[in-house]
Amino acid sequence: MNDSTLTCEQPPKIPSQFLSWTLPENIKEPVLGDLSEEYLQRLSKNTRSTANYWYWRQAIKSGSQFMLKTQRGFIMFIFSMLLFFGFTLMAMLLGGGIVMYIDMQSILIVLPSALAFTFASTSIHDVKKAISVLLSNDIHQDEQVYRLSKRIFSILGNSGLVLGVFMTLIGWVAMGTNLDNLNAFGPAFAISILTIVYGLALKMVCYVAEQKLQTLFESSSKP
Amino acid sequence: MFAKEKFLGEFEQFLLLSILKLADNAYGSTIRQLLADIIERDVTIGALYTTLERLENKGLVESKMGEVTPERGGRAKKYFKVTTKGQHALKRSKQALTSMWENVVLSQIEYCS
Repeated sequence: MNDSTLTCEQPPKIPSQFLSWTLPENIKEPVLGDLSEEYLQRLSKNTRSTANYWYWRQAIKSGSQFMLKTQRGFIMFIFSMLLFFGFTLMAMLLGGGIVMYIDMQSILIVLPSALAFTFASTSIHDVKKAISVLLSNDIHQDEQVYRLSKRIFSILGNSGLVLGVFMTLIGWVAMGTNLDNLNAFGPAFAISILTIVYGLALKMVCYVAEQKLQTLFESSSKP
Repeated sequence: MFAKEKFLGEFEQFLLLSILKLADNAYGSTIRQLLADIIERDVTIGALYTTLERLENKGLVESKMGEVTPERGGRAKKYFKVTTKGQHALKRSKQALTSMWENVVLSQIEYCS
């Protein structure tokens, strides 16, 4: 390969993005530049797969070294969510199985409707931005962005909870009008309660997201 | 009376010496390659910058951003230079090691080929 062809070559995208995500701002540019320069040197002497292997190895080792420092908030958020869903799953299993806690109709009533309410109150673009701020752990955003992102998760959580309660009440009205069939009362009651359960689960996730955004906002306002 | 100032670690000394050897061309990639060529140590770029940052915080090295080149994907280099304090720390560590080696006789060790 000649020099002009080589300068057009770029290192693999995925490890580069991983590094951009994990490296501290002050060394991001020189580190990515150094790796890019050395990648091209290796590409001129070795095969592409050897150069790619070297780049991936450097990216994974260096990225994981900085990840706990720069992305601690994101890692803790994912960890807390996994813990929450793990314990919920365990409680369901100990309670007699997961199947009785799953009702597709109830899920479809709560989740898409809550999302639709949130889109209607703000916009799809704002919702996407709120999710990216939450996951990026970026403390260099504008105050307005934090406020809006926090409000979006508040609307989503509250809508889910209110919808869950509302649908449960509708279910109870339907049950009340059919009290003569007592055999169907138990299963119908259990199903009617599930919408509250889904609403509460959504509210819980949104509450954690709101608190994380608050922490990011407070970190960004520190001098 | 004991000196309170700590001596440099092995890797810190290697880095400072690499920067001195490379003179005006000391940046991440060249330092990494020099370490690989001379002491055969394959250091990850992350470990290298972590130590360089620590040395900079101690005031032993200083850095400045350099030029942008196409082979670096339009990204600037970060050049490093050993400060007077850094050179003093290196000298001190070398003197300490030399003093410790004085009158030390190692027993004959036979290496298996």
